[in-house]
Amino acid sequence: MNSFWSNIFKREERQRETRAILKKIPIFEALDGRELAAIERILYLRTYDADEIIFRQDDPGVGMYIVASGIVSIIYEPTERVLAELREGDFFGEIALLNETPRSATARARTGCRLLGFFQPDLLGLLERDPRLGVKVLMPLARIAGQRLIHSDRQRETLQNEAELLKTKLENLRDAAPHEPEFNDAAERFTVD
Amino acid sequence: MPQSVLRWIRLVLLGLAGLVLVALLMLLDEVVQLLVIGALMAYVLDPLVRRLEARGTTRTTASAIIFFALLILVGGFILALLPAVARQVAAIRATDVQHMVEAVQEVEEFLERQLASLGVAELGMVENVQDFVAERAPAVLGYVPGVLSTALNVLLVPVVAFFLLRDGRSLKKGFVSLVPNRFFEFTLNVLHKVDVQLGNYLRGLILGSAVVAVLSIFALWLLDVPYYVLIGVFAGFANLIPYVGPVAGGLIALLVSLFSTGTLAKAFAIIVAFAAIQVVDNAVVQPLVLAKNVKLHPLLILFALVIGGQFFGILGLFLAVPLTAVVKVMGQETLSNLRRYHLT
Repeated sequence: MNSFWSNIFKREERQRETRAILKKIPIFEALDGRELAAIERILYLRTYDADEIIFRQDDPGVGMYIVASGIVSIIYEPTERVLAELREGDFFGEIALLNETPRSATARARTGCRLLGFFQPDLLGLLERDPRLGVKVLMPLARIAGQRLIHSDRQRETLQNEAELLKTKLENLRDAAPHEPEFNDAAERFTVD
Repeated sequence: MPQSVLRWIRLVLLGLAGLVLVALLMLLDEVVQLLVIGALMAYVLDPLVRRLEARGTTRTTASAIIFFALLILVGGFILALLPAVARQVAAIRATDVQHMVEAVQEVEEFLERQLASLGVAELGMVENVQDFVAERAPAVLGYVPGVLSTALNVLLVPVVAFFLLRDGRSLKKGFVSLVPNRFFEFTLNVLHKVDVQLGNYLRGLILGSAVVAVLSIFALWLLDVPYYVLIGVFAGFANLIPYVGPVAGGLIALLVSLFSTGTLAKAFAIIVAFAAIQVVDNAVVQPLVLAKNVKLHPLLILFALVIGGQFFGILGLFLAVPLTAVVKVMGQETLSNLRRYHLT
């Protein structure tokens, strides 16, 4: 009997904890208690061991994850470069909620983790059943996607400027030392796109 | 142990597991059929429940509304047609085979005239029909307990459907929660893709059959063909089977008309009516539900029908095609996603 009640209390505590985490996520911040409960019902709570892969780069993405506890590393595959380390309340993979796109990096649990998964089929179901709530989730999601686009546009612009600068420097070097074949080759091959 | 041996052991174990599954299915024949029909029903009705939910109803209330609506609809339909069905069943039992014999005699005489030049003298068709009827008549009584248990099943199916409608989503969530992390996203993706492909297909199939059944009953009633309700319901079920099904419904109507009147006077009208009903199904109902997105090879359908009919009787025959579509789409999506998730 004791374990029965402690189970119920544990579940309630966990629910409170989950809701507090959800409330911190920009996608859900405008939702009230009832709406958060509806979202909670369609989330999947997953537990990962340290070093376990959550998803791999280039796998089809079907949704996002919210870190409930632990640390998740986002890794760029070929170089194994760690792009980010995410902790409680952070989220990743949200673009896959809008469209099934290949994952742009690998996510691996650095420590033991508990993650909340929110997936496209469930978002679509929610939109059908409760369009008002669906839109309330979709709007901030679209906003985040838009911000990401602007951010990566700016990054691309900066990189392009830097690349053009590099090309000019290479060409100057070639002009300064016309008999150095390495500079010649490099300047020829270097294209900015 | 070398990898190749392990792979063989795994294959053999998989084969054994498959055999055990089939054996279990056959053992639990009726229960399985009940569950399958209930699940199909719940799956087909799910969009209606979601539409009610979108209007602010809870899932339980929405499922209950659909359940009672279905019960009233089916019950009303059965009650409205019950007198006709009872009359028709009684008439079949009491059929004096005279009409049938006359019709067969006519056909036989015609064939004997035509085949006389080939040296065929006596076909013996009439005697065969009389023997057949004499043999089968007592067996009709044996069907009564079967009919009772069928009636019970018919009542249980909506109950199964109701609970699957209400709890289907949490059942699915519970199932997905059991999947290991490595296969988790893969499983979600496969289930979603299967749902997208199968949903409309199955809804189209079942809606099409319902429309064909109702229109056939109406057309046969207009044409004054006896047993119009039974033939119409049969035509509806038969419509689940591509190619053969639509023809089978019309053929039965033709034969019944021939045997009851002894002439083929209504044949043309019956053929036109069944053709028109097929046009309605294929040109109006199917495009409306975008159902043509699952393609089954005729050979596959044939195998499915043979296996379904062999192991699960007439119901197996009707369920063979929808279930083959389910298995095919699941297999296809599983294989293609195994590759996409680099799991092979």
